[in-house]
Amino acid sequence: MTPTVAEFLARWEAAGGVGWYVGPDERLGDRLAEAWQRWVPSDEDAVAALWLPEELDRPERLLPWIAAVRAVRWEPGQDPTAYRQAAAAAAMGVTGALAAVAETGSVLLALGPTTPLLPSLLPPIHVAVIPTDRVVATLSEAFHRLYRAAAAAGWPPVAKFVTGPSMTADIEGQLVVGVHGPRVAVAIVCEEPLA
Amino acid sequence: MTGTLPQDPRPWPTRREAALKNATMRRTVGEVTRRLAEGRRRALADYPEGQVKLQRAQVAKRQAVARWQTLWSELQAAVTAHGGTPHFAATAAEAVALVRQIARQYAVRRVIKSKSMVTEELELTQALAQDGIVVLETDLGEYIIQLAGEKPSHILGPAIHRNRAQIAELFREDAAQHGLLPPSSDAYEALTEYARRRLREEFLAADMGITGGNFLVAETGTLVLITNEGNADMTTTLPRVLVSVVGLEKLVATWDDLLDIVQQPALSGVGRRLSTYTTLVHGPRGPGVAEGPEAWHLILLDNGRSALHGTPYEEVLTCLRCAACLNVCPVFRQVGGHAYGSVYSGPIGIVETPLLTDFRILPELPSALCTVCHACAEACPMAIDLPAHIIRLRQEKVRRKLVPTAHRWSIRQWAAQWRTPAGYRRTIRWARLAQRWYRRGDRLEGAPGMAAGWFQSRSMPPVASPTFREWWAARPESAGRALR
Repeated sequence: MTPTVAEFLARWEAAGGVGWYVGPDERLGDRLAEAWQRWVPSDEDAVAALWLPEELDRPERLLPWIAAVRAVRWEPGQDPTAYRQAAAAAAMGVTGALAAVAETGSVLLALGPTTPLLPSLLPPIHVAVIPTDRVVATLSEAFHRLYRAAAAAGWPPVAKFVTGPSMTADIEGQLVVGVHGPRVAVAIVCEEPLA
Repeated sequence: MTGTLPQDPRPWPTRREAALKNATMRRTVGEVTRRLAEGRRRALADYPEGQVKLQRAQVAKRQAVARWQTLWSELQAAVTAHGGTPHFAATAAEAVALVRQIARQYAVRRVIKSKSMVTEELELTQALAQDGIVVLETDLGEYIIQLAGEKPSHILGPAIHRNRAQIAELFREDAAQHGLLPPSSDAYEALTEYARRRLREEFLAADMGITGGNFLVAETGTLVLITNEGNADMTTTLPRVLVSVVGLEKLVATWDDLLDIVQQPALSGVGRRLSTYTTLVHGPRGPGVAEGPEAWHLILLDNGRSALHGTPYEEVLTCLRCAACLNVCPVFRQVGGHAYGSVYSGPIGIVETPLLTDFRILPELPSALCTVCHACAEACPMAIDLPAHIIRLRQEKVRRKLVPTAHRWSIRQWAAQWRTPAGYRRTIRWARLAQRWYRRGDRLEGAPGMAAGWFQSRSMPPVASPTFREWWAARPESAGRALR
């Protein structure tokens, strides 16, 4: 694990999130299964809302978790209302990310045709999966990455830096985690597996 | 042009007494403001890079405020290019009319709002309700005060004047009214869970979302929203129409400027390097995208702001609404936000309320709610010299004869006497003669006229006989020379 990855995970946890690292000889699917078991109440109908970057979205990476759960995915052309209801009913949302920032402990998400934001917002648990090469040291690097991506492909209608779980201190100033967004925010930094 | 702000119709003494008698509010406000101020101190000490960025941000914000019209032209072009629709509202009434017209255009029935001080300024919720539109606040604190029919008492914690028993009662009534399960207990988590459950259906059913904005980036056409709960993200992605109402002082020129300034509200407000959600809105959704509004209307609001352009008060517009000045203000900590009677409370509210409205409302603020202790000037990340502005506003009040005549006359007489050492000694001799009516034992417990108020909660030693000066002059060594 590089110092940048270690700093990102430490700052993400300081912000109230859960930070995990998947090494080159480990399987992402094992950690997703662990998250599922730990935070999703046992319910046969529980569904996950899922999208991942192409290099991670392969059965051999996602097993055994992907075999055990039903995953809802957004396909362009699908009815947005139906997708929204499905994402709102999901027990866990799993997404990729454009970048992760060590300096602030944040994950950058950008809305696009294959990258909906609802799985990161509506379910009570959000798992962001970040390939190691997307973890950057400073906020300015992430800002510049977004700017370059926009120069190439246009600005996403909505992009956001997420720093930990949804929280409030609106009642007597006491911190409560999990208001409108997720109560559990997991970031998994995922290494390229050994060939 | 002069702006308009809503105001509490109660006179200052009534607001003050109500605040001082509200023990719940005073305890919570005291605790929360101290915790936030301490969080800020720790976050800044631990993050020197934040200071470097801040110095650049102060310059960038001042430049942006000075040339807001150019930036607005740039921003309009960028927003239009992304498919959004920019509007300009010179007054609060124009902004309200625009929002009502947009709501009619899209046949809107249900609106969800994320927290916004500007829409408080416009009293937008009340205006939309007149059109039969249901408007729900979705920030937890704002939802609580909407149920209670109150105004925010703190920029960041609108409901910090209420305790959880009172909040549980409001939620139980709300649950009964909507046929929902009430909160399972008075615990913080149970109350928060109720708000999540209650508002989730509203998020999914709403036709229109209304937000404010923390920053607008002219170069890229970006609206930035900084929140912690996730409600602004729902508001910007779920309803089919999005309306954002933003004060013109929120403009910044470039993406790099945004980078320098984007962390400052979190650092100075709550002591974090970033809040949970820093949301960047660029426009309506494109084809094949699952979420995001189909139409985005951005309303830039003036409402008295541009009148500060080119005046000594221009820098006031660089305020980030971080609330750091409220959290350190000894007056705010005692009376809380409602006592100010304005949407904007604390030191920044004292300055902005008379400036935006050209002293038409609450002219007592600069005189009555500041001790000129300078704590706010030290706390302000944008280096706004709040105490200097407060003193300048006091002078302005005298010039405009907004001070009671008897008050002005008394101060003028006092100043006339104390202009010379002889005059000073003369008043001391008068005081010694007059004090026998106000002396209780070895303390002075009252005074005539305007000075009486000072003794309501204090006493002081009487004028000595002889005074030190008289004693000094009478010593043989002084040979009759007075102390200068």
